[in-house]
Amino acid sequence: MNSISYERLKKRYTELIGVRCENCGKEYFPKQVRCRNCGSYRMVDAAMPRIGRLESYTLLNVPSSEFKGKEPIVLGIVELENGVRLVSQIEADDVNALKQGMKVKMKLAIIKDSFEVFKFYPEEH
Amino acid sequence: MESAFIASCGLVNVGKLKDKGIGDLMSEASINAMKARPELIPDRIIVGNMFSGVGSRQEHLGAYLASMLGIDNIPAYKVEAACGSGGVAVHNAYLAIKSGESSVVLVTGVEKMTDLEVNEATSALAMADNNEFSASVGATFTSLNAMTYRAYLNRYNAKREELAEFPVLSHKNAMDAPHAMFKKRIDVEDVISSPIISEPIRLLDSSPMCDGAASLLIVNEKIANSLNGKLVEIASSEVAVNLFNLAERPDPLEYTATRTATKRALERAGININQVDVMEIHDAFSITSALTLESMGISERGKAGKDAGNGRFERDAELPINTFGGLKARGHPVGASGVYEIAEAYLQLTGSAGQCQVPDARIALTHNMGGVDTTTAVTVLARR
Repeated sequence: MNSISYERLKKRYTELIGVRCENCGKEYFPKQVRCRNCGSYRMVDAAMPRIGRLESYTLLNVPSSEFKGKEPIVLGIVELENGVRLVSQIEADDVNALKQGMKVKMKLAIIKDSFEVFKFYPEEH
Repeated sequence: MESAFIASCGLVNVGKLKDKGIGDLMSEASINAMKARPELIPDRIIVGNMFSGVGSRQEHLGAYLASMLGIDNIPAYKVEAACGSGGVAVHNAYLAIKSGESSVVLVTGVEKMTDLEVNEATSALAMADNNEFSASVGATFTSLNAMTYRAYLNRYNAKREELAEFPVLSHKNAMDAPHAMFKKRIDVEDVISSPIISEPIRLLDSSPMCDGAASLLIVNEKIANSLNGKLVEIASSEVAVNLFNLAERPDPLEYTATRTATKRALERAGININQVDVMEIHDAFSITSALTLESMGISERGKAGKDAGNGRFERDAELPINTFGGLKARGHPVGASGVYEIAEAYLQLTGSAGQCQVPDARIALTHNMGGVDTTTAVTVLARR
């Protein structure tokens, strides 16, 4: 992803900005233009909670060319406190210590070049 | 409404084909299908392909193929739905025939993957999910499937040894398939001890990076009636989508597009799943075979690998699957795979499957996914 597209998305990546439906209150990340729950088009930007649970994870040995040399990479599906689920890198000294359902918190991390984004880590870390 | 019939197929032997570019691949498959029916000239060409722009720096495949075939002034274009491009291309051909707008449609699925090195091809495949919020944070297509695999193992207390039966079966079936990439038997131990790609997915759980192309000539009933010999009716063709972002799905282990498209396709064809004699399913990874069979209601939740181990899906058993080796062993040139599957069903239903033949196969079902069940095409085919 080049620097122009990073600038466009920076707020979403660093402040975890998704959207909230003004009609029914359901939240989404990444953004959604029509609510799947109630059909409303009234979607406004909203910061997501920065705490969640680890739903699944993997240790990736063969990355895409953009992350070549960064392997192995720990990736996870995180369910945030508002029920929103997203894919994120997971910071873990020991991948074997990760467990489905464990509490994770968000931090910022530079995951390649100057690409700073959300990353989750186990609470007891 | 018109009915649609497959009149011929053409295949390229799948592999790492260094001497063949994307134009060579799609034209070879196309002329193989056309030479089998020299009396037919297409009035529409549809190309199924996922990433020729990235893989070969070539787009505009419809006009490219039409020109190489020397057919001018017809509609010709590419259809894209990630790894489901082939199945969706056939769906579009079916619609063109059903509507009466076309009489003879050439469908060609093609993918040239091996001009890219493995990390570049991994980047290209990751385009199937949301680039801005998935690939850009480091997720690959394999890693997304790996997370469904881990969740599956945990939820059902299933074992990797059980799901490893799927690649073992695919490799066994490919031994007899002339167009398959791998002619090598493997066993469960080979699968579970092979190198880790994205844990728990191992190398031998995964379909290969490869090149290939497959073609079909699809005609209306009037033309079918004028032809001799081998004809197969497309009884139904259904496409459904799941939520684009895998993580957002209420349950990432639910292949809702597979379930929906299969249900609609069976209803439209007027049959139930027990009447299907042979199936080609999208075994991109061991876990996709299990989740497909379970979402279709063929196996109980968490039990598909056990069913495979018990021989339920062998070529001479109750419900043969991936009779030419599937994506795993025939090979998975991504945008072409959906067309290979339907061509293989055509070979089965016309008694042309050679050593891969399922005795007296009359009805086939094919299943082709783009992404992790993100766009799924299901086709029911019937011997005429």
